[in-house]
Amino acid sequence: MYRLLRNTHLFLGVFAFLFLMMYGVSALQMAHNTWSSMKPTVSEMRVTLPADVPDDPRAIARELRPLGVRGDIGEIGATPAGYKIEVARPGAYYQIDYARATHDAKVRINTTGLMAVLNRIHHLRGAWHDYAPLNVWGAMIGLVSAGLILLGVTGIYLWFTIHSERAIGIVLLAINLGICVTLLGLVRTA
Amino acid sequence: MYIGLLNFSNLIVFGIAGLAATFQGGRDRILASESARYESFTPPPGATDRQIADLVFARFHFPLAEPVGDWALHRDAAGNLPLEFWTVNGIHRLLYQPKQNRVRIETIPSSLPFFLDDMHTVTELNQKDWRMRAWAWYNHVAIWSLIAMAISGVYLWLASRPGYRVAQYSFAGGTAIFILLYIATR
Repeated sequence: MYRLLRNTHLFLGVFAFLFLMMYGVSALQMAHNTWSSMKPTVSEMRVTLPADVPDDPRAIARELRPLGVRGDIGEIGATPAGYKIEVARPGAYYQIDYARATHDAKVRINTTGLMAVLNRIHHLRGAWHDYAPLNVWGAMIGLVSAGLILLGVTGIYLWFTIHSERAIGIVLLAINLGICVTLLGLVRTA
Repeated sequence: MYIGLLNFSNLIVFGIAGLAATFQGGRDRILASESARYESFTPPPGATDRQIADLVFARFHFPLAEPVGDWALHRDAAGNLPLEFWTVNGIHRLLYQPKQNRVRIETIPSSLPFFLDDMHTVTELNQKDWRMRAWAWYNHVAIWSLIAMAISGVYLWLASRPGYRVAQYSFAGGTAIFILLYIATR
């Protein structure tokens, strides 16, 4: 049993290393948002789409994917000339202004740096995105979250098997549980 | 090990928050609202929307809530003033109806997993409520601890059993998945 749980703890921990670092570093960025710049780089491109592209905002956005406009299709708005479409992924945000008559698409591109990407990944949730890699992120985040709980539980077991560390460990665990449960209880019942 | 024991509960909160985000989102995020109630409310004549919002906040002072920001003050088409007070326990949605001189109050409580999800986001240290401020400090410690545990965990593996194949494959697999996903979505 000890061997199995020790190995589980090790495999989970090393597998999730970069994911946990992503969570930790992006959480620090959110807590101290002056420490790093989140300013995006803005550029623009103009594309003329083929005449046979359907008059459907989603089809228009998909037509632009090979040109790098990849991500979840967000808000879609109708304009007198055509459509305004938003596409986003952690590292980029696109605003597409499509003219129906000429099939021209003006794309405003906001790209961000490492910290902003980590921030967006931290906020990703679920597997219902229309951009497949974001669903994989969502699934991985679920797995890592379950792994984090398992890491905690196996860690407790591994500590408990070391008899010489029990006394200090009980004190530390009691401090942690005392603070956490008390604060959660006080806030929940406020 | 000591850091882990001092942060055990936080890791569980972080894990539950991640699972809550994975399995429920958007419309399912919040429990159904409790039935709405009405309270009479008459602001002084000529009061601005900002003053009305402050008077409502002072009168009802929902626990843990903060005043509504200026950016959120807009009348609806009927001339009513919607006011939303968000807390980790849920949302208090108010509607000041000047023609009836009353406020409609609707409370939408958060379920436990989403309460924990919201709690794990509390990191701003200048919280108005002391309980939230204490939790923000606690969360700060947990964030630094998470980073320390991740780094020390890899160090302990490399220092004790660096040649252990399954651990090497596990590390390589996790790292490869992360890097590939990062490249695909950056």
